[in-house]
Amino acid sequence: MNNNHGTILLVEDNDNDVVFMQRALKNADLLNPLQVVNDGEQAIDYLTGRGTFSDRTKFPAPILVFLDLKLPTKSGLEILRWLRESPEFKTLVVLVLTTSNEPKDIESALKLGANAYLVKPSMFSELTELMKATKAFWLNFNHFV
Amino acid sequence: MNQSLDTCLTVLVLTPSGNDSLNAMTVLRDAGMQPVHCANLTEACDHIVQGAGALLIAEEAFTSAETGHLMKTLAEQEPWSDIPIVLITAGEDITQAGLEKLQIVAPAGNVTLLERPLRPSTLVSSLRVALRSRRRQYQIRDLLEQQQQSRNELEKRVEERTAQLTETIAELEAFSYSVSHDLRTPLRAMQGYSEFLWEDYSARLDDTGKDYLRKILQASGRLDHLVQDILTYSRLSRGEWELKDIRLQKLLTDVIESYPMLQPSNIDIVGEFPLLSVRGHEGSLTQVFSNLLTNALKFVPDGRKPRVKIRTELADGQVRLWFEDNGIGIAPAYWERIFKMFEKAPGEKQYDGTGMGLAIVRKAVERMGGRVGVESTVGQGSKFWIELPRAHEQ
Repeated sequence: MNNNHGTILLVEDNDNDVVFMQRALKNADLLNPLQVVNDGEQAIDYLTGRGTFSDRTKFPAPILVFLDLKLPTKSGLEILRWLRESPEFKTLVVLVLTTSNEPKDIESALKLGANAYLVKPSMFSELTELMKATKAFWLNFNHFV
Repeated sequence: MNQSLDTCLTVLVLTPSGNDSLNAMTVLRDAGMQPVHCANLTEACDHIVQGAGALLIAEEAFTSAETGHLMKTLAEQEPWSDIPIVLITAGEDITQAGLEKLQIVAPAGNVTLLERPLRPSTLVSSLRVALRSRRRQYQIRDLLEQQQQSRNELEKRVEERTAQLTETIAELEAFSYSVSHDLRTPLRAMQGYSEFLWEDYSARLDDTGKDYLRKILQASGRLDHLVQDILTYSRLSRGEWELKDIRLQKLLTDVIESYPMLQPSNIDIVGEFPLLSVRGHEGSLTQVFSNLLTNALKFVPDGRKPRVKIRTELADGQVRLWFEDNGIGIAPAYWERIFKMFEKAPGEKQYDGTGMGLAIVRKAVERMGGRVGVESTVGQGSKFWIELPRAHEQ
């Protein structure tokens, strides 16, 4: 199974982390189109194709979401709950990517239906390794609905 | 609100209408008491419930049917209350019905029998005794109420303190959470851009420039370790732990497998098998193992290959687990201090450490109900030990 064309949505409010992700994805040869939104409301607008994101040719529905937990307007956990309650997004692959390694957050995210819980590594080189592994597992081996 | 003692110390008088009743009322009033005339036993019972000092009652003044009501009222008194009853019997002329009533009432209450013919002085002295004991009962009631009140106040204070503590704990948790997120985010940016600088521009830097960059990377790496260690430590202080039997042999193997730097090329880890099993919390014990093994790896003199021997023994019914290394050793003056936060032994400066590793070990072991310690010879090595309860099943 190969999904090297589907759009990836990165929900991340920190500009530096966006830069790191863009570079890590490139280093990992994960070349799918990447779209970035900076807060919870925007994430929901993008996913439902509302407002500025209504043009689906420019903003295609994602096949995979990287979701930060601590976000303005709506938290990552709120987005996750909303996603799993909407029939359309029940099966969307959502990988939580956050600084928090609090057991409480891990448990909440997994219970709400995150496909994986990833902690942002301290070193950029480790982020590259993480994206290589993500590409191999989620885009090459995993089967999508 | 309780009624005043004066009201409570009235004498309820229930004697047949006529001379006898009038007589008793007068005699008692003349003696300085507060007699209250009751028309029947039901009315007297109502007064008892409201509060009264004593009940003066003539045997012929109530019917057998009413005794039930009196018995019920007596039985329902507060634990401190036992109202004195002075019962005037008919003397030698008592009827069979009267006898039956006496047999029921007399043993059930705090009853004094007075036989006719009755002298006023006998009546007065009997009721004085009755009221005196009744006064004592009311004093006991007041003491009990005071006690209850202080108990209530104490409970209220405990509740307030608990609420304050809960709030403080919640604040601390919020604090360590934001330390995790807010401190590490800019730190990650510093590390990340330093790495970019290294990857993209190091060719254009001279040796001094490269050295500066290396130092930035090292320092930010150390800060990152420190933040993570503080978080680990604070996480050890909270939350409920479910303790279970842990096979140390398996735990040791798992730890070695999951830490690349603990491979045989870096360190000789020798287990003196079989190891005894302990009762503990697996995640925290894994942390303890990795901290102690990493220390054995880190604190060795140049040119010596790190080696650590792991063995268990029984000490006073507890399992004592030893980590014996061939490292730089610790002077006796520091054997206790190194388990405190941010404490480092002299000579440790050249080694990379946050000063948190052993504090984490101690915190984790103590929360599992155990102890830690060390014995050491400077230059030859240290023997760290942790003591934990035995597993339920060995």
